[in-house]
Amino acid sequence: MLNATDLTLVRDGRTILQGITLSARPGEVTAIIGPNGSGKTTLMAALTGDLAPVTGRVTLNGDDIAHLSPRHLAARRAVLAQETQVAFPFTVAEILQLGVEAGTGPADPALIPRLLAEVDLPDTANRPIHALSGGERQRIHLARTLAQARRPHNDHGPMWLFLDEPVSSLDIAHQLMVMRRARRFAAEGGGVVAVMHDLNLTAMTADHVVLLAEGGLLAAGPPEQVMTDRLLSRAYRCDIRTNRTPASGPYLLPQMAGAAE
Amino acid sequence: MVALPLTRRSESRPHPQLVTAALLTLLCVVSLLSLGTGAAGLSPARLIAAFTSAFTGAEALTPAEALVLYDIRLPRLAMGLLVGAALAVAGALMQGLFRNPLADPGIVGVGAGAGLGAVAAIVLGGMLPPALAALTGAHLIPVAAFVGGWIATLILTHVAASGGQTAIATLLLAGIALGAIAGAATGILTYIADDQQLRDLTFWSMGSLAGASWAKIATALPLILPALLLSPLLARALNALALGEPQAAHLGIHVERTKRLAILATAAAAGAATAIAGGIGFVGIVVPHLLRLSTGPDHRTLLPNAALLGGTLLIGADMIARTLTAPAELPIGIVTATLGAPVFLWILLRRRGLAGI
Repeated sequence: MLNATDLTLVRDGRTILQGITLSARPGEVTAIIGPNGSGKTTLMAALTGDLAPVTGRVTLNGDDIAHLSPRHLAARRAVLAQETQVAFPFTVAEILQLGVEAGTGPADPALIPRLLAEVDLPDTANRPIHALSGGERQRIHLARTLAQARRPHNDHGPMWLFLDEPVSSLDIAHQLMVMRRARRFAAEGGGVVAVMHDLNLTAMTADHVVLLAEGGLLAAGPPEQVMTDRLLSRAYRCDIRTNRTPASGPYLLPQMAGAAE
Repeated sequence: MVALPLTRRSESRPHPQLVTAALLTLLCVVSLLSLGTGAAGLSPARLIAAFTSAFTGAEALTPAEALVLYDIRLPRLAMGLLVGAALAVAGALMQGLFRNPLADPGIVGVGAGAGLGAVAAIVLGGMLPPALAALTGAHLIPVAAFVGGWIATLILTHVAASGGQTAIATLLLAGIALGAIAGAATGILTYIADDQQLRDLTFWSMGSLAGASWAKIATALPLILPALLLSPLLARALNALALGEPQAAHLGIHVERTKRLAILATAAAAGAATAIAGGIGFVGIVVPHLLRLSTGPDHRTLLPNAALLGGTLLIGADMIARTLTAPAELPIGIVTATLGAPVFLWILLRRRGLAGI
């Protein structure tokens, strides 16, 4: 279980978020959504331990993350940052190896090739990461994160995967692939917390949605309860109409806003 | 298809242990050549006979030859090895710390800070309380250089590495400013120095390995050796740091501790090397760069290999410095700059298209 209680988050002297209380369950994909500047990435930084909250605390499987050493934290959660620039020409395999070493438990030699196949980049192990495109690099870093979180459940309880806009530079096929992989991680018992930009993809893949706006938490709950016309329109400050496909959850079209008038 | 040559290049990376073995062999060959080169010629065969005489019992060298070998050339060789290893490892550490292949203690003002520390020790050392003077003794100049280099590195990290990102322009400009400040302070100290201190300063600032002695080596060894031994322990953390500071923390690295230790080790190695050999530039740039090209950027192999190649390079450069214009001697800094400055420009040209430059 991930619990954040009464968080106040300040960056460069500016209060970004106040009074945030939320929880995320293992076995589920929790999506954090909200308009630009609503504090999604700042909240993510607090949940991963990058940013110490001014008030409140974050616990992961019962442990206050402020009291965990970097090493112990790395055994409980892996993080995919929004963007990662590698300073030296490491090969793809060397980058994944960093994730393998940060995680706990044995790693079989087939792990790296298997993860590369999972992110649809087989046979890239010996290529310098700089030789890959932006979207490909993003998937390599996802594979590194998965190498660190290779066991969805370990001695410390469920493993947590934090993904900050994991699909931001990916094409539609790879967006679906990445979200499917995240779902599988949750299905295997791990916890997933993802900052999401694409509301349709969120509606399709999230079990739990946290909506940020106006410097705080506007709503949290299952997609059907949070992704409503009223809440989304208020949060994003534009007229949003959600809709339903017969078989599944809500979907939305920006075009519908114009059609309604 | 476009990526094919890249794939081949990195797949053809030689095995790290093979490179280490090759570097060790190269070091031995260059060492023997260096020991044998000079006004009094000593052939490799005679050198080997001399080193094995303890076992064979044969008296291999004349007393004059023994004097040249044990009191002049061997200390010079040892100092070249020590200083070269220190400079190369300091360069590799600093590049890992700043996530930039152009960071080098000599270029970003740490060498100038260390120089200021050394000059301050020479000029102001007499003012120390006797108890403190007795405590530091012959180590005063290396320790002062270490402190000077350390302060310069700390200032540099605060100025240039804000928010975990280091823009190379900021880094180099901060280095220029630090160098100017240290240079001005050095100038003031030189101005107030008395005649005896000026003589000491002149000898010190000539740098080079010409003044090598076992005593001098002994003053720097307590700083350089721990730095060299500590550096491989930072290798994994520096690898993770290449992805960025938050990413390194995500991978379980204690980022602040790593930075503190890397700064200390850099200042100790570069400061003590500057204290005994003066300003020798570009070793810290060229050596790690060549190694990254051949065996890749993994600090676990990079750091030990940098020590070996740095030592070898400096011994070789010293050999060139004392034979090219014999019987006169070129300052070794000129040799390393001639070899290294073009490499620096080359890296700059290749990276110009990348972000952050």
